[in-house]
Amino acid sequence: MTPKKTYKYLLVSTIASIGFMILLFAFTKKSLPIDTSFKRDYTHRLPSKIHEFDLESSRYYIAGAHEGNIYLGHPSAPLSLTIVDSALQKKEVIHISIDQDSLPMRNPQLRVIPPHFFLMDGTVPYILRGNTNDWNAYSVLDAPLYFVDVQAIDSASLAISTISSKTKELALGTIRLADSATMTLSHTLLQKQVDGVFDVGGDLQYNQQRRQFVYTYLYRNQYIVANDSLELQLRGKTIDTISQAQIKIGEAKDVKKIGPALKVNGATATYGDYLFVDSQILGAKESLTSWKNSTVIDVYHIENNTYAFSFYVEDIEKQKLRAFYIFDDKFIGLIGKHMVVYELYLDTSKETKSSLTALHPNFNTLKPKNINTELSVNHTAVREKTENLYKRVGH
Amino acid sequence: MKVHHKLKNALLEFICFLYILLFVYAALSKLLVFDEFKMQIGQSQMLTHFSEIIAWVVPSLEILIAILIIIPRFRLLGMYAAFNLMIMFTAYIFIVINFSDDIPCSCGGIIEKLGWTEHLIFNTAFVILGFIGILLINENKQPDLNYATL
Repeated sequence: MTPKKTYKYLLVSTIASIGFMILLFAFTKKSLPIDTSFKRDYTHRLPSKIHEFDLESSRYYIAGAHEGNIYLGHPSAPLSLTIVDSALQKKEVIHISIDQDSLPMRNPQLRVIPPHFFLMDGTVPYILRGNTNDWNAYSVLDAPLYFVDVQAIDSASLAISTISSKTKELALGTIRLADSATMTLSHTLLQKQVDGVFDVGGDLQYNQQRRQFVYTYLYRNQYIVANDSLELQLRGKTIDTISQAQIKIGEAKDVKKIGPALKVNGATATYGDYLFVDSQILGAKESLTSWKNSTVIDVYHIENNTYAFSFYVEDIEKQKLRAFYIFDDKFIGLIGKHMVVYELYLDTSKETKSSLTALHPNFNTLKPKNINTELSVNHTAVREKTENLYKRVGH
Repeated sequence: MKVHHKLKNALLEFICFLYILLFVYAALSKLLVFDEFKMQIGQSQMLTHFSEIIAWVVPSLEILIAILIIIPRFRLLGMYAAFNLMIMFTAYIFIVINFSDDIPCSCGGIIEKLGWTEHLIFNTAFVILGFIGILLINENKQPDLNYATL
């Protein structure tokens, strides 16, 4: 074989090999998660960014908020708490003292609900509680109660998700810290579709105003509202139509791992009658540019399980929103190293709706069962009513 | 000229030896933890639909290629196959690092401990060795031709 021919063979086979991998990639590439069966409503008075603040680290998480102060924890400084006021003007760092010489720090989580705060790690496990006046934390967990996720209900109880020792599946529950700590689990709130661990994964929040758990599934269009006794109050639907978790579970011996999965909902937050969801599904007729440069937050009314409106939270320095928190009428977001505050204007929407209801008593009776038809009907309904309203006001 | 020729032959033998070692090692370390390997393949967005087939085909192919390289008659064919398989692995890693969200590695054994950049360098080195190997095999055949014509 002449060298020329060899080079030719090598070149052709190299191109063929690379081409094969590119084709494989092109055909298996995740397509944009579009669900054209719903359309988002961006017509509500859009929340506007009122502050932006550089935290100088992209690893902060939100531990709580109270009276204009936002409490931030940092995984590499588990005994420090950063307090920022919501006008984002002051930053204060507080050191927490603990009643032990050392604590293992695998996944330490701080939660602040003044006048109390918790330092917890459900993998070790331990729960330390203290007072926000002196920031001294004392151990309150005498039994080894493990948990995956945790939110504070009050000074003596916590909302948790954990792997149940009975079913080996994920379950929601509470830990009561009176006298000796006790864990109560509900095996019926989370509904298994695939394996009972990964498919039921989601974001656990506790709504302080309504005193309710709000758990939003990651891989299906549902959220669960339950009371402190773990009694189901509502199974709500998010606006897309992905009701079955689309995930693949890999299994080898005792290890289970999650494979390619279609994420429906990301981080969530809840305040008052509202649930805020970072949606991962693109709806019909939405701007691709906005989708790529920002995060879509869908707002739901949890009292009557209706979709309220959506808004965008813009990326900063190509970083997406990774955590958020709502209090009063403010949306607090962590984006890369930055913290942002948006004014939500939730009350204005309430006013519009109540005035519409006042003018059209039948407005509230438009409640079809299916959320999608409900959305479209409500849209047209709202549009018509608004037009009528304007007409009336105009004359 | 003769020393030169001997050196080239030694280099070729060394390259073939490295490839045989790499492929046999990679194949065995995959087969030893086959379930885990299959699971890792299943986690890759690109391969998950074919995880069952790929889990069997890749190690078998690696062993087959090692055998081809061992047998002198099939050495050139084996080296072409090895060269292209290495190109595919490299292209896969490149695509996964740059264009994919999830980046699982299922290379097996200590190779798995390499960082992604090291992995790319490691693979590229093998691609270059394969390239040299193929050229050397052809050169070896060439002199025979030349002697004959002389």
